[in-house]
Amino acid sequence: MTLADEHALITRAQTSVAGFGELFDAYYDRIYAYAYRRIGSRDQAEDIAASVFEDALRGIKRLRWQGKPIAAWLYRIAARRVADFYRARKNDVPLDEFAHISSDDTGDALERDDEYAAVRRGLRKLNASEREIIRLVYFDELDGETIASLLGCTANNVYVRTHRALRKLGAILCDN
Amino acid sequence: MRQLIIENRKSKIENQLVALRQREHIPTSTRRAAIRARLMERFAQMNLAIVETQIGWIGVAFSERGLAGIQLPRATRAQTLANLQRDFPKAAVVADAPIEIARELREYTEGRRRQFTLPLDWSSIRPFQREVLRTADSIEYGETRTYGWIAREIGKPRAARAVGRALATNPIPIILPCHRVLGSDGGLHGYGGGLPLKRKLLELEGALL
Repeated sequence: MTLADEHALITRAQTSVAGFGELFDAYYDRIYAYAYRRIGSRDQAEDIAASVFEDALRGIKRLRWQGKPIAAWLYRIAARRVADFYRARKNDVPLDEFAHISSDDTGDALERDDEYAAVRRGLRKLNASEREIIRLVYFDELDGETIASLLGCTANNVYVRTHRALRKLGAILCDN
Repeated sequence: MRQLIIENRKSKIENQLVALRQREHIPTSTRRAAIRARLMERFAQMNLAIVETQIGWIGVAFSERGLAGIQLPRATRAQTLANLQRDFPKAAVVADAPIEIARELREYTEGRRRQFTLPLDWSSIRPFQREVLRTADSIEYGETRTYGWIAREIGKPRAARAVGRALATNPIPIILPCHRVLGSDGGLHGYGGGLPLKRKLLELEGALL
């Protein structure tokens, strides 16, 4: 979607039910996947995705177009909701943040492949912000500008952080 | 040497991450349709509330999109609400108007606000009326224009009568300031909330001495 398309979509979403439906259709699955990747539960991810769009519904009429992708706005709401979720359950057992790429009982070929299993283990050894940058770049597949806006840093900083996280992951795998 | 190996591994790791992404498992969201339907319903839902102001009980109709209707004050709160419900029969009556709607209306009626920033729900306003009301909205606080002026502004100089009708049925009076439009003789002409109220609003704005 070009920025001009995005602007038109936002305007439609601000003024008509059908337009808001379009916005929902364009982003729900991605926001849901974002939440699922961080929480690993379908129910919770759906709750978060629903609340993101409820917030969007309330907030969109005040949204001033600033030439930035609307994804950044939606993901920022989602990031807050995920943080709320973790705050609320901070005394519970930690969740498996990489449930979406863990082996399942179906005997996935991936699991038998030591190399991939090693990468997964390596990811778990990174610190939270390193894991997050890897998730944003390689799993959510967001562009640098959107990630920068989400994390409140520059696009160049996103590149540097990604580079460092990959290097650390490389070092972990090398040590093994 | 170790550094070199790590660097070489980097692009390999990137490829492995991409491969992991392709094979990740995210269960389908089964509640997607229900969530969508609920949002669509809320988007369209109209709510009614009453705001107490200096000039009396003002009725407001609003949706997620913004303010859709204003009922000018009647003699009692109940009467204002009844009139509002007649215009929006399917709407739900809620206890409180959104804070910003109540605040801006109160400030305006107390002479402390010259402009409204409230988002408006134009969805039920037809194109011609929309054009007329947008033009009326361009008249500054404290100023007045005539029906003929609006007709000329919208490029239909002979449509002063149609302009009058469009203003008379303005669903969002006060916010869309049809009270700033007078007859060509300078007379107040007419107002849905009664001429005394039109006079009061213009006096409040300093447009009438």
